Amino acid sequence: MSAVLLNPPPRQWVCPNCLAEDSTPWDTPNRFHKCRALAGITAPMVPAGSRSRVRAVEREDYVGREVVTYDGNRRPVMNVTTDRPDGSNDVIVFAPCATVRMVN
Amino acid sequence: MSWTASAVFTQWILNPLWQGNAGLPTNYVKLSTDVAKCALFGTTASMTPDKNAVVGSTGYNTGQWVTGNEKTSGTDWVATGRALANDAITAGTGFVMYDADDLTSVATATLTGVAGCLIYDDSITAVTVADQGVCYNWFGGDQSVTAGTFSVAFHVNGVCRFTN
Repeated sequence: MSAVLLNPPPRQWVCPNCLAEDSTPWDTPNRFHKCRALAGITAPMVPAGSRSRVRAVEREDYVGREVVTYDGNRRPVMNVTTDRPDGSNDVIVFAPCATVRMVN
Repeated sequence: MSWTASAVFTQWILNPLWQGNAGLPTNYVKLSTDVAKCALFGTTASMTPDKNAVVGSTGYNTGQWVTGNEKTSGTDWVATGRALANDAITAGTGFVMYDADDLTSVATATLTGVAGCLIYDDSITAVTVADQGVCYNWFGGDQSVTAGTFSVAFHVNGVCRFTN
């Protein structure tokens, strides 16, 4: 016999870098914040107790004239990666803007 | 051979944007009305995207954008890519931009060596080239995900932008 929880407990989130905490309804799939420890980059929080790691990955190639995303330290960031203890990971890629410059 | 930049296709500006040669592409209404898609490609060293490519090489599954270079993950990030949602063209002081919601796969995607994406008009079927490319966006390095969520967050300046 199984029971249905009519009012599941809220979901607890934590940032492993800046240690920010938050609580959301149980069915919220993710939670983002501007992380002070990652120089203001918008980064995911992870479920409390999950022992996941969140890191901002610097762009691997030169920036040139590309319009890229920078963190608060003017470091070009190409993605934010969440590494879980089981070896799986999530990636949020910051796509640069394709630009056309018209000279007048 | 490699990706070196993000760019808008010259042929997209020629037609349909400025309608500089043949008539409008078949089924083209406007980019924000048509079905625009984002397909993933890579790796950085395996392709040489060219913004000045002939029109016949700017569509999905043509030129550099053949399916052999595409990155997919089953139903998590399907071949032909994911449709852009809430895409819109807006103008401000000194710019016109095309933007859309960020894209997120389901949480079981496995992808390796994703160097960038092709944004194309999936509604176009003929006159220029079927599934004509609008632009390509280079991620600055190869991206990989294992049994997780792969998201593409477009820049605050948009997917692509014209400035003067």
